[in-house]
Amino acid sequence: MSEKMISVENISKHYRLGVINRKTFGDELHYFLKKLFHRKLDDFVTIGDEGRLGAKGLFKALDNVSFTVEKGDVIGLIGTNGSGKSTLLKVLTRITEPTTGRAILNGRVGSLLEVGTGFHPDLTGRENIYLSGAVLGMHKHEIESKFDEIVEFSGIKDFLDTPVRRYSSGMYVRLGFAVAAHLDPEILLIDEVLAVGDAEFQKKCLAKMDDIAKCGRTIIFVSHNMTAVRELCNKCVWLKDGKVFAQGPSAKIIDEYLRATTLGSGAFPIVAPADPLQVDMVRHYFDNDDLVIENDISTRATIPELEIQNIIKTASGEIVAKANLHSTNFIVTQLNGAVTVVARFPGIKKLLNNGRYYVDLNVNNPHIRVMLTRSKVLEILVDDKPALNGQDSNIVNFGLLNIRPTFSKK
Amino acid sequence: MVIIQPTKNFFKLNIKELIEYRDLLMLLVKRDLTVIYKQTILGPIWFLIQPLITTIVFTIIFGRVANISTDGLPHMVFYMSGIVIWNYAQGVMNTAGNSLATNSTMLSKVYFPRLIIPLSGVVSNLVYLGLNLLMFLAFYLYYYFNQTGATQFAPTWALLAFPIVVVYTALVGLGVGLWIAAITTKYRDFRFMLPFIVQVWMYATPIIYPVNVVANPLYRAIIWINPVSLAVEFNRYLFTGHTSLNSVGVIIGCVSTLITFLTGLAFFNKVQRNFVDII
Repeated sequence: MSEKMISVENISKHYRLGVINRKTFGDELHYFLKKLFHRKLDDFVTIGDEGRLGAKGLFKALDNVSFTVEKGDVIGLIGTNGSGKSTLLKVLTRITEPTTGRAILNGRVGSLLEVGTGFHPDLTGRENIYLSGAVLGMHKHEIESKFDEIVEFSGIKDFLDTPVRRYSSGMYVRLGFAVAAHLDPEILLIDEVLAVGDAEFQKKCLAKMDDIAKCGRTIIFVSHNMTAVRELCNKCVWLKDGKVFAQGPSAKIIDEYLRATTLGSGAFPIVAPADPLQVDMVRHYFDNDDLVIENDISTRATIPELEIQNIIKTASGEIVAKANLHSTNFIVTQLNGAVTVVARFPGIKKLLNNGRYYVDLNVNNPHIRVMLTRSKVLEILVDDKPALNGQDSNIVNFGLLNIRPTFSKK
Repeated sequence: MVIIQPTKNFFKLNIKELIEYRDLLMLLVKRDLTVIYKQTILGPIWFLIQPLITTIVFTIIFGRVANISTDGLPHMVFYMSGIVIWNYAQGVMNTAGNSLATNSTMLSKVYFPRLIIPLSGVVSNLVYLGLNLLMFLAFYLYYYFNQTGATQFAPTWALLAFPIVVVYTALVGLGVGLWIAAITTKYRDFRFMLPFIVQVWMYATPIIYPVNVVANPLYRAIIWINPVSLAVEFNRYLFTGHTSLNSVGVIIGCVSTLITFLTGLAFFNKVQRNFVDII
């Protein structure tokens, strides 16, 4: 049952900052002679542990990363920009070597770091399917057996014999993903590939990846799209500053991650001492079908009048609902110290379709002067809607509203 | 099972893995050939025009004007027998030498044994070698049946060993190409020096002169250390029976080829493992 597919053991990857190599041939000679006589002078491996930036201007992109992945696991690799996710994937795909440590991959590895990289613009779509497949490690007969499926998935049937340089960028991406998605590796390593393509195609890709995962393949998936990670992955590894910060069940790790990155340290601009107003915490919970948002605000000086706005938006920024002075007639007066302002959106949970929603918080002076705006202070997940026809409800239920329309003949 | 760890042995040549990726090799060869064919009007004919013009120029300048000995052989046969081999060595060297730089986007996104790209150059250049050989054979047969000079020439039985010449030349081209690929990745300057180096190298190869006209022992040693010389002289011997080749030359040539190839491979392996971090 628990067969180890990937085991990463103390992998580190160091980069020299600034200098790529010793600049000239003379430098190189100098370095070589030095190295010959004082062996340890510039040794990569023996640097001490002085934070992420090593003593000699070495940047530790990965710092003693270890974890194991079992067969059938779908691991989400999450972390902020620069945390080492892509570097780790590059090491695991053997594009670059680790400085120290080792990793054991128990099975054929397929990777998708960027779609369509094996393409040559002068070759036709058909030729590129073969080339791209071979680059990803497939044999000719394997590609042949999947050829029709690939063409079907990409939807470029009519352009198969056109050189890909005449393809639109969308066609390019579709073809690239189609090839990659149809190889049959035991381990699949996928970087943020969903940032490309339209929403429809992204859904299709996600569904395909879900299929692959359900076939018992082991997947490591890097993404900033927490919705996708939550849906696909059963476990998460959270990288921070090149180290494994936390790992465990997806739901738990993602919640911690979102809390840390949206509400916790760093995400808010630091309030200047002169600024009397600050947001301490924003929470939400569902009270039956009502959404309740609690805004903890504090101030150091007396503020005569405050208007609070809570705006619920979709991921793409459309406003779903808004609670403000006009809808509530609510004003905080003579505030000095902390206050919790509670906004209630009655019945909204029943109305909303499954998905991820975000809450903005604005604090205004009622005389239309913005005092403070914070976007995406909360991420709200609605996932209680039952699936239609037993399929994945996220893919079948299009639209913002969960109103189950009906048809009848008049 | 794949084990990822820092490479310790740079001389390692994972032949099993290379065989595993043979489909990719063949597709890359096909890609190189199709792309050249698609972009040009004359297509592969260029690979005939180039050696033909070179031979004609050599015949005029070095044969007629400078009057350099061709060992009694017809100029066309003498020069072309060398140019055919030289072109193949240089072609392999060029593809191998540019393999990392021209495919950098692919290399930075997907793993496959990096040696596949230089190897695809070895195979795709075989096609051009074949074209060159056809043209050479045409001239060769013409002069063979119209022998007018005092020196008679005829193919030897050793001609059956021609594939060995090809393999040897490929090894030379690959060895030097791997060196170039590795060194131009680290030091861009070499890209500007390359055409110049190739030119000097060609003159150090007995293409326009037979080795036996070189009297200076130092120059002669340099010519034999140059690994292409052996291939050129041996090829000339196979077709005409005339050569300045001796056993010392053969040994020196083989040793220097082996050294070039192994060091090239090691250097290439060392650079390619972190190539993506450098470009």
